[in-house]
Amino acid sequence: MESIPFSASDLAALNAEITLTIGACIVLVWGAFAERNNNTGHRFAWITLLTVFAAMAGVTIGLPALMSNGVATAFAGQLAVDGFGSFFSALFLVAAALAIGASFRFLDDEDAHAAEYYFFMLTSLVGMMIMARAADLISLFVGLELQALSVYVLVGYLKSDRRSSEAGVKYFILGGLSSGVFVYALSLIYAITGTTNIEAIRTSLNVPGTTDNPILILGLILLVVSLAFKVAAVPFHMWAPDAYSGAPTPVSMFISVASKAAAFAMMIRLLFVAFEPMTASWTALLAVLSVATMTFGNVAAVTQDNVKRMFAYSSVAHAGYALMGIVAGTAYGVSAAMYYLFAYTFMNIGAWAMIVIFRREGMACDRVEDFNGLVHRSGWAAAAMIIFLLSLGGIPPTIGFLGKWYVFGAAVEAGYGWLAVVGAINAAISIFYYLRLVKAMFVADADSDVTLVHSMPLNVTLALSAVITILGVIWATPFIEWVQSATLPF
Amino acid sequence: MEIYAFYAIAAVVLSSAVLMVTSRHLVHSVVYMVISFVAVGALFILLEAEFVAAVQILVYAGGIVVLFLFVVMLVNVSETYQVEFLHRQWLPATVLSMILAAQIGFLLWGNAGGLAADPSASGSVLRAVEGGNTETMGMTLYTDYLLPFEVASVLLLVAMIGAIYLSRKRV
Amino acid sequence: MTDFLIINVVIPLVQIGVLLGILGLATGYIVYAERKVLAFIQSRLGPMRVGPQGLLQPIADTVKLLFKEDLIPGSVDKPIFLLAPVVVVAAAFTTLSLIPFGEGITLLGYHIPGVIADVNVGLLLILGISGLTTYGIILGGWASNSKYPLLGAMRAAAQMVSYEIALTFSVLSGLMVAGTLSMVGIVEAQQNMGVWFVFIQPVAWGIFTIAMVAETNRAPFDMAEAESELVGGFFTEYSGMRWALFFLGEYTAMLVMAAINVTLFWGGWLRPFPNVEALAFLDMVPSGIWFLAKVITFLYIYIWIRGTFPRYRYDQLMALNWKSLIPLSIANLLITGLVMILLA
Repeated sequence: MESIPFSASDLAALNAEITLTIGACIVLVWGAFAERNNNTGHRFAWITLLTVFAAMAGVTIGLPALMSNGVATAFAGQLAVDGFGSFFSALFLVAAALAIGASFRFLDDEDAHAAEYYFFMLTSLVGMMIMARAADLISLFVGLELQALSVYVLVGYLKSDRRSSEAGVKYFILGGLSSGVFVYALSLIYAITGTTNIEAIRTSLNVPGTTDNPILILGLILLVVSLAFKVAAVPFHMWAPDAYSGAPTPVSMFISVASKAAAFAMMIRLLFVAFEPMTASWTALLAVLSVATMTFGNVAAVTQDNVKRMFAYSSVAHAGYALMGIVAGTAYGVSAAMYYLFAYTFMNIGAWAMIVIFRREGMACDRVEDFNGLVHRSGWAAAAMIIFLLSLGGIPPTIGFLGKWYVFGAAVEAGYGWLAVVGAINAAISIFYYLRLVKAMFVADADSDVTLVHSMPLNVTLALSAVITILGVIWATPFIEWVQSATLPF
Repeated sequence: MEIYAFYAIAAVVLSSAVLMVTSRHLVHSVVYMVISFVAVGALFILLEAEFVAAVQILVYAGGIVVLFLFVVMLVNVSETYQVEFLHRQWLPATVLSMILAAQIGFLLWGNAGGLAADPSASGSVLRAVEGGNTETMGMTLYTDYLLPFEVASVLLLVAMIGAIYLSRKRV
Repeated sequence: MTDFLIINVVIPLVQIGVLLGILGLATGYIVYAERKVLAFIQSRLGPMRVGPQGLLQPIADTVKLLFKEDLIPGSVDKPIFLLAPVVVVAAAFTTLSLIPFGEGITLLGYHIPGVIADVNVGLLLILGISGLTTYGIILGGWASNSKYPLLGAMRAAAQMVSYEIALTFSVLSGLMVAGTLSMVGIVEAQQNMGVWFVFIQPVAWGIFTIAMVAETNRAPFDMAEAESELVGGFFTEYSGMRWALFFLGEYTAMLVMAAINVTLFWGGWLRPFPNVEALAFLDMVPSGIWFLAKVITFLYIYIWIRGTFPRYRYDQLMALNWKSLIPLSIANLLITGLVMILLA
């Protein structure tokens, strides 16, 4: 008999994913046998939240302990144990916890099954964490698909809602296509380098002459295309507005933050580690994508009357800002992009969570008019919304401003001054449509059909997001240091 | 000798794949798909990957496509409901995909010299082993590729639960 | 060079020829045996008219089928309608080439193995290719463009796909003991261990035997053709030689399943109690005879079951598989693995 093919340190490196999978199975099996009434849904939400916190402990306490013991990879080089992976894992978990807070009441109001919802949320987390941590293309792809499949179902989760079903189908078809392109790119890369290990690809590309191979260049282009698709960069963004606006709002907030961050994590690891020898080639590609993404996202958002669509386009635009940090092609740029994603997580989840509050005659509603007169009804909610909008627009004193400052700085430092200028112009455009909401909140009168639906967990989500959006500036140093230490492996 | 067998099988794979896409009738498409899958199984045999070949036939040709056929027959799309294929966009679609195909073909053509000479040189890659490579394959799968294997099992669970959830009638 | 030609071309061709020649005849006589046995079970005489005891009946039937008009109804999907029976027969015959009928013999200085192709994943390949039979049945039923065949085909598809799971899991339990996928290797493993695997894996054998009957669409699981409900099931619209091809496919599939059962669980061509020295005189009987005797026993059991059990209701059939056989076979697989680890 052969020995067991893994060690205790392998399992420890995977502790958060294992915790999440166990939690997912508990929720699923319990959900299958539980009687369905108004209170059971919350039970699953609490279990899920507990699981996420346990996984968070594993990521923030367990993994650093492992790293300090000198463990760098696990499972025969399939999984990287580094600060980069832990940073993104923590980010996904925070996003999930906040999105769960917004889901409690939402699922009750929509009369939707809770158990499967939280099951898919947990499994998508497992997928995202594998995406951020995989050190091998095969694990990376399996993680990507796990994340994607879970998210497809979540987007189409409200089966009685036509928009949700339509969004699910669109996302599924286009996501499947982009995964196909991704695998094709990986196969070309494997054909040239003869390995699926990300570090080994870099080693093999460092051999002089390899990088001139047209097949490899084709592989790189297709890789960038599929990655651009996953982060919803223009012109591969077509699915995003439909998916984000059709999905149940808590799902939109979750995927517009966590799925996007996971795709960025994957992109950074692939481009900065595997394709480090070809930095000059892909920065040129990404610079174009970045400009197109920012500009198109913001211009399209201006014309929207539907808040969910507006935020969907705005999240496309934000991907463009984050791309700017990657275009810089330096460690400083990576840490800027990572910080931007960190800031984006809180401000974007907060903004989306505000949409969950509004219900017109018991139905979810998402028009700009629905925000009318908010300031007269709930001063706190209006204040929180203003904080999120300021932050999304990049106006001080918010972490959104800090994030933009950071990525623009990285671009300038790397000689992409013109990109920073484009970014600044775009920030100005974005303020225009963010202010439309502020205007609605202050100037117009409230519509009596629209009610505000508060619940304790949703309020916690809003409060936490708002507090971090502001306090992140005052105590900026620990976060920035965290991001910079997580960037170090490159 | 082997190269001729390869060309013959590859021709079957490709032509049935093309026919699968162009067939007007869903059931005919599925039949072409089976032919294509079985032929891919034959390609694996040519590569001395008997286990993969057997699994290809057992799982894809024998299992999955049967379910395809099952669904196609249950749904029973009649001709009248068929939406026009690529409504009014077939010309730009054809031109663009031709250009893309030409570009990719041009890049791939004649550049095979740059392929990694021996993929097995780096990493653990299966080689044809005396007495079959099933055991080697199993060992590799459960040691070097244990993580993706386990993640794939979660993936399949998600796919199954997702399909059941979405297709169940009652909300 | 000539050696290469003889070993790789001539011998297999001869084997294939002999097998196909015997098979046509054998299938006829399996049908004959079935009619006779069923008749005896039901206190009748069965075919008696053609030849002594009706022994020439199969030949008369074959001739009749060959000369019957080949009817193709107007509304069928012609290419698929024509293809379907061929798929069934081709799949059944292909699997036959992977079954070891005996140890093999030495003739004119050349060793002729008892199997046409000893592939090292033989068992998996047999299961895979016999899975393709489903296509023949579904496509035949669908292409007929008629209600009864379609219903029969749907039932057959669901049934065969479902039972394939239980079948494969029970085979896996046996494979874990054997440690090889080669059909010849499995028999040799039983020879080396000195025991037939049915004594090690009785549960797996039981599941396999039930699933094998269901997989070949035989009574009491013959939902696909259920004469009393569906007229003739998926081949209602077929006649003449095409109908006979379906028949040929079904009986060949029975033969193949019986052969897998014998190979995997009943020692293949080995004599009974291969580890008991005192019974060594049994080796006087050629290995092929032992194999055939066992296969014939199983064919008899098929007929016996058909004569004894009433047909299952469709939902009972599915419940039996999904709620009993599959969980049981998975549990059996896990226990096998555990015991093997503990004993190792």
